[in-house]
Amino acid sequence: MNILILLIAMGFLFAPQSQSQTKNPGLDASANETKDSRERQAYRSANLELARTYEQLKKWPDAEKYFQEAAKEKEETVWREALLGIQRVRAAADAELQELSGAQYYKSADVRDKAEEQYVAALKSNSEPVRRSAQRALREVESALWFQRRFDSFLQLVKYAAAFLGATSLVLLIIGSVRIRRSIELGPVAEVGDKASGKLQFWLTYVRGRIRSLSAVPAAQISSLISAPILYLALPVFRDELPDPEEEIDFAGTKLPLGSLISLYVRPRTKVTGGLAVPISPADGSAFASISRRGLCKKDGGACEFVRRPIRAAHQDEDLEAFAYDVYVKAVEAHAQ
Amino acid sequence: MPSKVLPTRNPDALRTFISGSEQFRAYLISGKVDLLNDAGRNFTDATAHDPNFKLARFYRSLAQTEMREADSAIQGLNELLAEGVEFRAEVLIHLAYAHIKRYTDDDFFAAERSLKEARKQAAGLRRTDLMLLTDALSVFLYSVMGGYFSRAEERPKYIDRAVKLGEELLKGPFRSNGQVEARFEVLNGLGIAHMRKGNLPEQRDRATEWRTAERYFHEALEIRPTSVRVMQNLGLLKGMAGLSARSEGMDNEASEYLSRAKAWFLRSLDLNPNDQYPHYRLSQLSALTGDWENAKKYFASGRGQSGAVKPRQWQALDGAISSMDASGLRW
Repeated sequence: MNILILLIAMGFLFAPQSQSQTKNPGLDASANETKDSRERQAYRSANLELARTYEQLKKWPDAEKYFQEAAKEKEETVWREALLGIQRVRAAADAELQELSGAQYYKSADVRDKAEEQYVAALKSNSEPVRRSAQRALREVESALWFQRRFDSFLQLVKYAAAFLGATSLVLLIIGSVRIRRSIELGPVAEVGDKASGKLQFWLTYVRGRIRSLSAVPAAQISSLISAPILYLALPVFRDELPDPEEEIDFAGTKLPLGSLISLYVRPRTKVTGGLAVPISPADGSAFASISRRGLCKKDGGACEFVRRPIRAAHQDEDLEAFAYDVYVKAVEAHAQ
Repeated sequence: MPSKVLPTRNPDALRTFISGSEQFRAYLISGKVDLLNDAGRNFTDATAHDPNFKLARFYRSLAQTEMREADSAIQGLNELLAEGVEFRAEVLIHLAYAHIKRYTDDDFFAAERSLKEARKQAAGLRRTDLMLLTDALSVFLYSVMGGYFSRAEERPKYIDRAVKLGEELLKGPFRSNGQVEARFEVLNGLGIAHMRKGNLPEQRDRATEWRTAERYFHEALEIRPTSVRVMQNLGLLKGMAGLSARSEGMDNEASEYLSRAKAWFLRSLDLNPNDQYPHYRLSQLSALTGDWENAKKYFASGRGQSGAVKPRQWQALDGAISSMDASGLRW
């Protein structure tokens, strides 16, 4: 660029000499005056030409500088044109700065995406200072946007995870419902007597636990001499061994009251209800249980099985244990039908 | 009609069976014979409540084998086989074990047949655990035949068979807990085989064989520290070493070995006094060391128990105690 400017300047400097070489040597002093005036004009016009060249190159500050120089000249046509040039150059510079100012407005308003767009547009500007400013500002905006975009991605992931958890909860709920439908429920047990509280429930749970514990550890792990077959193939699951379903499931932002629906409509396959009248010496008590199997017993309007045993005052625990075994066997049998 | 889920539909049978199973497991862990007796009673009660309760009958036979009532156990297991059971391979394995415990040639061959059939059944079911167990029990069978087979000239053949099979099995993987128990059987069998090998008349290097036997027995005890079978085998081994030392005129060593033999039999007796075998051996050891008082005591207590000590062995011991002369006693 400097070379270009130098060449233009040299062109102006050497132009009078070449003109003088072509001029008629017979001209007089007035001709010399005219020559001086033309030289001066040519010299003064150099500022104007430089300004125009810079204007063409859209180097607004340089162009304005030389227009200002030209405006100081005495030649009217020159300074008038220089003044017009200053107006043009400033208007053009202002137009380019508008792109930057738009971006700066968005930046100050924290609309970083828009600001980024404007700065990117300003990068295409022909003005070097505008491009430099845009580049600088763009770096700042992008570093701020980097955190924002990471955070947005994280939020997106959280949304996906929430949706996945919602879907998983729904699947688990369905599986849980199926397991509940295949279970045996120990229903409410009516107990009469001050010392009856929880006894029947205890023995029913105790017997169940004892039977299950035997199948938990294969006999072969105790001794090779007891390579016994598997004791139980598939003991049924009891309702109280299963977790309760969640009250509400959040699915895609909507809370579904599936827990309540399950409680209302999903019933275990087999239900055991019963009662105990605690024996008070010398009178004997009694225990009973009714076992109903879903879809099988209701047609007959009653329980599938009914168990009743006297509970002797002197052998209360023994009798309750025997009763619990009786209930367990009949419940499992009814369940397997 | 059998239950789809439970082994019996009779609640009383199930209750007594559950109690019996718990006691039997506790006996197998602790070795305490009281628990075994209670378990046996409960299994008998369970079968009384429900005669079709095959699992209870199977367990009753297992308890009977442990109580040295091999005849009853064999009868019960044969009945189950005749009726047909889903767990035929297991029944055959335990039938073989009960036969081994009778220590006669016919029983040894019956045990061998049962084990072969059990292996075939297990292979058909792809039960590698049972296949391994039948192989382990084969080691035990051949090692016992190496000591008790009536034709003494054939004993070395069975000893070699036990050693070969046992060492081959030890090279194989024993991964699960069930396989650890099979490993126990192999180690015990190998211990017996080397003990018998060391006791063969033509054996020149008894000490090496007996050291190997002792190592295998101790490895077996690490797996099951309360195994009376291994304790009795160690007692037998020390007794052999004691009598061998005595015959070579090394009285001090002999005395040391015999007292160690007594200690092992006493340990086994603490856990299970219902087997006549440790009583018999303690009576013999007492007679061999001139302790006639204890010889009489253990003779009397042993005669009251069930087991597989042969009548002629009792007679020989009785004769030695009566004449207070142990020179005719054979170990």
